Amino acid sequence: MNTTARIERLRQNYVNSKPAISCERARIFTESHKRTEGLPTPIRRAQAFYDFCNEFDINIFEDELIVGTAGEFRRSGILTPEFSWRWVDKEMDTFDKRPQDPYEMTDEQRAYVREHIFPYWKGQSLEEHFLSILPEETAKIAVDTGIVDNDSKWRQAVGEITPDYQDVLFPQGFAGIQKKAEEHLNRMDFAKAEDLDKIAFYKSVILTSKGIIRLAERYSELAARMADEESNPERSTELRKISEVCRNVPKNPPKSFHEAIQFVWFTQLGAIISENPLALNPGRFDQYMFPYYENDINSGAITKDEARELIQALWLKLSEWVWTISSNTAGFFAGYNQFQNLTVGGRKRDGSDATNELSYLCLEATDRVRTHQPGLSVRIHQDCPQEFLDAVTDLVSTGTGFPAIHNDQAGSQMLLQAGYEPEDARDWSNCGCVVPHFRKTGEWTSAVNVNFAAAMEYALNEGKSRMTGEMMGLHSIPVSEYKSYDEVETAVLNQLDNLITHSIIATIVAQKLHTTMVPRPFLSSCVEDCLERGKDLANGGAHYNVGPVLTGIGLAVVANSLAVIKKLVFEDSVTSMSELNDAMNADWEGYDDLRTKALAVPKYGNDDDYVDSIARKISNFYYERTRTHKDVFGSSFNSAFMGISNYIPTGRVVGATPCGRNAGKPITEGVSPYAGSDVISPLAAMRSSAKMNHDVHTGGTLLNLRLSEDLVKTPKGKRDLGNIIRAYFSLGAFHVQFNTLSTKVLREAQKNPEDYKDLLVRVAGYSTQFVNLSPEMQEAIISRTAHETM
Amino acid sequence: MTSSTDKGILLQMQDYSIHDGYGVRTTIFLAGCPLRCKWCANPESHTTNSKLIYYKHKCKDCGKCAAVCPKSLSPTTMERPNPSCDACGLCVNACPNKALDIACTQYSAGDIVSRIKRDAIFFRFTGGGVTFSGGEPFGQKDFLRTLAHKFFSMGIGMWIETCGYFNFSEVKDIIEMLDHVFMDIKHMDSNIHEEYTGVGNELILQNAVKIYEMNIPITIRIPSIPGLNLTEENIKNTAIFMRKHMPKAEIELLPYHELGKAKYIALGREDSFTTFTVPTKEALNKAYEIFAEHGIKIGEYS
Repeated sequence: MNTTARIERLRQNYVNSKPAISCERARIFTESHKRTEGLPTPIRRAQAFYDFCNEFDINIFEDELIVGTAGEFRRSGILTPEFSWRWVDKEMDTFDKRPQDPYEMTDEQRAYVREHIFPYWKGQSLEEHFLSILPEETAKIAVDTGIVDNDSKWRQAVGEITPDYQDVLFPQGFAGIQKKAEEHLNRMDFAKAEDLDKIAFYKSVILTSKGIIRLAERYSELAARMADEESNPERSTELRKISEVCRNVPKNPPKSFHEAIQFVWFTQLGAIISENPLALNPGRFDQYMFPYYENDINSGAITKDEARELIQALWLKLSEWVWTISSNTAGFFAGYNQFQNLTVGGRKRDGSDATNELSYLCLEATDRVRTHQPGLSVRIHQDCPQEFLDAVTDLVSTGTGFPAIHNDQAGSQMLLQAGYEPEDARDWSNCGCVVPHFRKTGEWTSAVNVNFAAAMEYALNEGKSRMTGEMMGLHSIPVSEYKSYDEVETAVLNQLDNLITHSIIATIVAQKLHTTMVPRPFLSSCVEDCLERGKDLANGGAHYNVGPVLTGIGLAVVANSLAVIKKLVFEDSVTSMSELNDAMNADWEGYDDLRTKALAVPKYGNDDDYVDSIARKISNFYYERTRTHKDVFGSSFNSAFMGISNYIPTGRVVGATPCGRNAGKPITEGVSPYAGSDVISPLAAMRSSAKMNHDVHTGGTLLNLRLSEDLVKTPKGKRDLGNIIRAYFSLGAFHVQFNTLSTKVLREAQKNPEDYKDLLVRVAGYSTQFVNLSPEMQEAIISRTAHETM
Repeated sequence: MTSSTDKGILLQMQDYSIHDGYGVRTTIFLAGCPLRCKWCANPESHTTNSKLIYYKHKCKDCGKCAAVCPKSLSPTTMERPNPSCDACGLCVNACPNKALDIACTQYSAGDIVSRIKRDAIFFRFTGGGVTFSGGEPFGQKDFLRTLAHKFFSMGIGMWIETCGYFNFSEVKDIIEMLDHVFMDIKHMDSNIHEEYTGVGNELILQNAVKIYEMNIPITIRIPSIPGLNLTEENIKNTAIFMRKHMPKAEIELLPYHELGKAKYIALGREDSFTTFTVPTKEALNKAYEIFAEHGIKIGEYS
């Protein structure tokens, strides 16, 4: 039994219900703030949190085992007007119609928030403060441009945090945290100036602890009432069990596996209510849950199937809530993705293998429930059990795109380079998508998206955007005046450096505001040392404070384009900079021959040093320049080549590029090749990617590859893939994720052959590019693929 | 174009092959074949001559290919194969839609070795290596020898897929360096063999036994076509032959498929495409049962 009928019903409900906006959190927070004017901000936010926990009209839905929602709907998205209300005001009339991640919202709700909520926050939101402080020249590049983008840090809360279940939450419970905060508070002295902020902080933590305990108590009471009224005796027993669980957690340390899971969800819920965060990571779930699992299995308190059901129920909970975001942000983080990363496998703190039975149950849960959350990551170390790697490639073969596969050692190396103690560096888990992270850390792991292709455009277009003609970069000489390839490359790097500088400005302005405007008492109580130091997370209270991460986008497009300039202009002299510039301005229209030649120049992702060496040089430069800047806590900024969906909106604002790409088309994610240009094979793409120095990009690196289903269909194929992953990691690379080719992908390839030139399919005894097959043969392959997956 | 010790004619090199032996392999397809099997799925492999391939469905009739042709041919509309076309490739480069390609390209041994060096890390981790295929790889025996020596000295394992039609004494030294041989026995009746492939089977059967006697692991393959060689009689005869002469060799049945048709069309040789029947799973299983009854081990690679 791998899913129960209950899980299937919960799953159907999740699949078939549309996310809806809940105004309750915004309403209760706003009303509360009206009552607390004049008090210190941390206390006001904590009181509002408490009020929500105390007042919100809670529900337990049919079939639920794990309970708690942040709104009145199962799939609720909440509003956080203290961060930004303006984008909501501007966009909510079309929430249900927008193409990426629509939400349901009623006219009544819209009228209510416009009348009662937004006016209160006018002039008070983080967004408005940010925009009023941001220097004009930075604003021009960094506000809703797709060039330097950090709106998730001023229209949204930070998130990007991993609650510490191991050392903080499970051992103490929130009652323990509250007690600790009270003890600290008792030692404070109003006569000491440095204690004033601490007093406010401790009071805020006491309030949020009381709040989450109160919320759980209310669920416990509700479940008990529902149990009394329930006619089905089986459900009635379940409700009593739920009542009992919520009476104990998260107030006290969990006593059972069921309680530990409910504890995890209440912690997630508390953070959601606090700030509607992205990348709120459950972390190393298989590690901190295992003692409870083992204990319950050994004592007979739970069966393996019951444990399975609870895990799968949590998976659904993690998927149901909705991270409410602007359409701009949705372009960068598409797919209702909350980026709750859950990491399994890897090594323990002492360096021994960490995989256990739960690691496998987590992989299985993702396969069975097929939800988009949690973001399931695995760590593969050099002595990883073959069975675990087999389970990983098994999941790959199902075509879910999960798990994200990470090199254990590379992750540790990234943390060591960021200054972590060796034991802590071994204890990493992922934050969001592919950022190696440690739970005792305050860090903006995805602070800014930096558009590399835009930097190149400014170098080739006298500092101006090709699409708008507006001056966006530094002044550059007219293209006809470049005398050598090196001059071009230097100009591109200078423009990139300028975008880095504006990224830094936009980040530290936001960081500075966060320290005073949006403290995070609830999450501060989930991370070690905030209580000891009497400092909020937003003020650098965590044990480690790591510098914000700047994510580079479009590495491959820039490397490919520079290779074209190097070869066609300066080596082969088949074109001039001016002609190339004309072709860019014409979006290649009328320059078919030149474009054909440009497309024939070596492309990143084919293990060709001609172009890969350019990518390596740019990525090293990016790392070096990023590291020279310090954030508000004095930590060095970090570089990353991550993914998400940011390569689409960033591409939209960049004109045609010398690599042959048309204006407005997507650029590239992470260290992945340009879609369809890695024509040799996934292995060559891996070798290209591994030429980047992954270990220094502390914010993570990402490689997404397509794989024919055929290659992972048999046990041998899966075993081979596992060993390919080992080979790739032996080259020092950090992450790889596979999209296996379903019929759907093949259909897409038929429609857009240009984007799928790399798509290899095995015909019979040989493999070939799918797009080279005639439509008739393509149909034959598709029908075979469909047949084989049946 | 000719084959020599240092230069050879390839159809393609394909890395990440998982169906041609252990682990992840890079398959090197050498052009040219002494057989002309009527069911051949790779007609471009028959000779080592460069030939123009045309994918009509990708062509947008822009005429750029004809404009660059030094022989003033129109690559898209001309008769193909065409004696006037020497496959110079100018039209291929001029085509913006990748509708044209050249089959059979000359490579130096050095080119191939440098490609293989890059794949070697994947061989090491997966237990893979190189597989020589074709066409008929022994057809370019001097070039094959050069490659085999290089890979042997690099410690890279080599498998081969051969039709078995070669002069054994001329290539024995190459076979000694191989880890595994796949050889086809397409029919046990020499007359039928000749009718459908152009040659009799005597040399092939002799070579199979000689290789077996060298203690090189060998897998016999049958491109299985119902009514032709996937018949109870032929299967039994093959099993009897194997039990008698090569009892520890493996058998693998490769079901006939029609997916080669696209290539005939691209080569302008649609007329010579013959359709046979695709075998059912049941027919294949039945044949495997016969081999099992004769004590022959079944190999599964494809």
